Amino acid sequence: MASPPRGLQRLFRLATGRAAPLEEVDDEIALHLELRTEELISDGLDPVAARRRAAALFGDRRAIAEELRTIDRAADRGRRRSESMRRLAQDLRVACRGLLRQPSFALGGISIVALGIGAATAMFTVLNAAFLKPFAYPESDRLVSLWEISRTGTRMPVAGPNAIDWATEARLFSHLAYYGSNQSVLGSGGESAYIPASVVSRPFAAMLGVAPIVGRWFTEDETRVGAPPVAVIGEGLWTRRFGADRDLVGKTIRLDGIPVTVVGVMPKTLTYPTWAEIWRPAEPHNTGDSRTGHNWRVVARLARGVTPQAAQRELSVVTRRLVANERGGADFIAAGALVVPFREQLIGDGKKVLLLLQGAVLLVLLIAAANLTNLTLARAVRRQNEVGVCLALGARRIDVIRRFASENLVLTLIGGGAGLILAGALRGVLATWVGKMLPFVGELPLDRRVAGFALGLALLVGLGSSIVPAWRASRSIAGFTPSRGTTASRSSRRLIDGLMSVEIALAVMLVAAAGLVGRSLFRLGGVDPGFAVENRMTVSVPLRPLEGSNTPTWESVTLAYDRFQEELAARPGTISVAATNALPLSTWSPNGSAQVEGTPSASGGPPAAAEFHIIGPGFFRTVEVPVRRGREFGEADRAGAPYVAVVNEAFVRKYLGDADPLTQRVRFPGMDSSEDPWAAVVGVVGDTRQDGLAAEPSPAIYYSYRQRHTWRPMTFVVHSSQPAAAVLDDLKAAVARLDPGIPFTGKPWSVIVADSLALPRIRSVLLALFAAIALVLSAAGIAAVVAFAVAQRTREIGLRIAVGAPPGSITRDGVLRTARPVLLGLTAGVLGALVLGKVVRTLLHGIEPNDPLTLATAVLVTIVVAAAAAYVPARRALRVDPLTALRQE
Amino acid sequence: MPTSPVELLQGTLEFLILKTLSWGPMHGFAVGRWIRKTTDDALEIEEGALYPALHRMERRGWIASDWGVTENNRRAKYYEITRLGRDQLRREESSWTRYVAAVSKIMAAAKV
Repeated sequence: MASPPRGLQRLFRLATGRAAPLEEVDDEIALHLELRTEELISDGLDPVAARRRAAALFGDRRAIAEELRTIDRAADRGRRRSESMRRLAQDLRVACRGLLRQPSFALGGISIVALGIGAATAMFTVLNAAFLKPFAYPESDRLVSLWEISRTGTRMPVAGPNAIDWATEARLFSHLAYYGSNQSVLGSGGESAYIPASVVSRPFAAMLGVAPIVGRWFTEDETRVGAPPVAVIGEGLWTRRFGADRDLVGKTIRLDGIPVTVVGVMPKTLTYPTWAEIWRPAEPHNTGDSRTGHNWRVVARLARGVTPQAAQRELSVVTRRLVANERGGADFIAAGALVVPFREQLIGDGKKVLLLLQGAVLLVLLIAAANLTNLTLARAVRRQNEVGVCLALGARRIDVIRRFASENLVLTLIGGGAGLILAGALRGVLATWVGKMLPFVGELPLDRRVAGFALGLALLVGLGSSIVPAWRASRSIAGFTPSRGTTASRSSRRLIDGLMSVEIALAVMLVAAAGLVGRSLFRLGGVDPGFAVENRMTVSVPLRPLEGSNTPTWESVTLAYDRFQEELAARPGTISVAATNALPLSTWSPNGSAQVEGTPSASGGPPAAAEFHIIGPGFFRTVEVPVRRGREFGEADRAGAPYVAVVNEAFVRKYLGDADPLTQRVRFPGMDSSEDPWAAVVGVVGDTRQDGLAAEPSPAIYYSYRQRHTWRPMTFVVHSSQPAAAVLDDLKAAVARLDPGIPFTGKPWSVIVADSLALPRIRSVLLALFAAIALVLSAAGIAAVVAFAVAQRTREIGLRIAVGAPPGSITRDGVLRTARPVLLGLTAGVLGALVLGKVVRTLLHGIEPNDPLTLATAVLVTIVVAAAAAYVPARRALRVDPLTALRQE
Repeated sequence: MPTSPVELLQGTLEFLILKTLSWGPMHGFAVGRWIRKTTDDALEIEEGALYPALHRMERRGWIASDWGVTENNRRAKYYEITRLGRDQLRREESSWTRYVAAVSKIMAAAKV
């Protein structure tokens, strides 16, 4: 039978093309042989010879038949493919036409999807960069960080001798390197600058798999104690500072005041550790023989095929053997080793925050999806007539579903594209935040994975939002065309209300979470750090005895600090000035095992774990930390005078009990190379927060820099009545006079404290942003539902207006229409917020996850937004013209 | 005078099939017979090779096929040239003419 004309095929969307049954090939060949044989017979051959001749002329029948089948199958596949492409194109064309007929639905849907996908994708760029973007180092999945685990289970950096022994004894690593990072002063005079630097052991470069682009890495000889100092510098520094001069290799540069020979340049890809641009041999510095002085970080490359777990088992055994004879506190002696994959190590605590925020933003997307589903449902109810006609004319259910799905897919694909653009714009904000939290991440690329994520979400939302409405719509009985506004929409209405409840619930959850985190930030800002920061300028002054021949002594360094302090104190406006080696809320304080005379901590029992501070005279007065008992360090506490210490209240509470603190003596062994005799406690001071406003104050012991030396730079705090800018200028001049090679780093302390809150602040801002988007989306959802309800009941409203119903009652009805689902959503939202509160608990400070005030505020905010969103379209009902409304049917 | 048949140049078979079908729909055997008769058996074509060429051309859309009945009431697969096939034929005809002209000129100029 001839196939119907093309136009008809297109009209009824009949399948074109026909799959040829594969036996046809045999029929075709058989006919050829038959006809050929007949021809040969008529040429005079006898039938047998003719058949044989025909077969010979044809060639290998089986091979040709096989070839024909192959060609036909390929042709079939091609036909099917182009057919489905054609159908897809047609679906999309029809969908676009349908959407253009209702631009408000299209625009609304696209904006909703763009907001939802945009937020989710922006957040995903962070996850992508942190978790998925490959490292620049080859086979980076074999890189691991190594830690010691104390007997009390805490993770510790590695003791020098242990790091050396690990490298020789552990068999499951192909390379193992230890390192320490610091800031080095490069150059001298006005051109000096702090450069992130590190000392690394020799296998470091080979371990990461990075080779110098110019020159070479350290030789074995250069890592010996007393060898002439050498350094390898980074490509960035080489280009920036030395104009990429290849002849720099072999020349000397000034590092921390001494000449150091540059032997090589490493490529830009090497940014480890912490954006270092100078690497120097660590071996000469690792001379300590203490297996409890945890001073080194260790990274290693697993041998091929070795799992981190296997390496950890082996390393733990080795470690336990190494420390078997150690005595000391359980806090500091290793009980084993920990092997952490590199990426996990670098992401660290950030993982929780990242996943939480991604979760929050997916909730936002869920609201968007519920919203779009509701719009589609409402649209489906409005299109009941159209669908009914289609079904009556023989359309299948699948055709109806295809129609709905393709319309929503067009919407979500456009929305997803817009969302991707939005995400690209939001990346800037996120990059600053991520740079602070996860410095290793660097840029946030919009790569294939991010695009794929956005596309995946678009497809998911497009299909998810259309399946249920389409399914319901296609249930209309063929041939039965329900009249407008009948009860056929009642079950749809229930579904719409349910989805609205879901939106409200999610919005309440997000607003509550943002509220908790925001209020906790507010509380954090109000925490008393234990010291005064207003009108205090700070400047770091790194002085230390230099390596080499003209070594200044500790005495001369102490003297330099003294003079510096005197000079600052003499400036007009200076109220007080003092130094510390660990500025609270700025620098981490070293800590270790102290001992209190006459207690178990002094006789091999559990030690008195405490922070170790070195400060100058007048420090507590300068920063307004109260002296509770005794006195603080004074001019008399010098070298040669009685050795004294000050402790804080937390130390007294935890370790001194009821004894009079001022009769006690303490010792702090293992912190430096000092002789460390017993020091008499001469004062007790108030507690201060050292490591962040959220961290409770720890026990601490203070020594004077005149009696105990420190390798760490001293930071001077100047309390002055002058304006900040003037004091900073003064400080700058003073530092330059002291040593023009010291880069100036002066800052108001208040700025440093505010910076310490930068991470929680951005976290809080992001959550607040997501919550705001959630509210906007929910409001849009409610408004759409009410508008739909009004449109559905135009006739009824018209009638009521016609018979003189007061306008207020109609508006009230419209608003009340949403009351039940909103109340339901609020209840579910409060329950959800309680659960979510438990998840964000670790981010909270000074506020309980079920804080009633926050929950109540979240509910109130949502109610106000919901009521406002319902009111606007409900008022529109008043404008219904009774005559038009009644004539509509 | 009988000469030994010449081998077919690559791609020429399809050209010949298109040309043949331009006279009207035919089944495979008829196409082969037409070429044989018209060239007085001057071309060496393995008869079986005709069919893969036909199927490939159908896949490209140059020809279309349908089953029909021969004058002797046998079921046969008839091939028909499509619009796409006619375009292709025109292109090949013109390039073939130019090719033959060029080669002929060289042959005429050559000293044997």
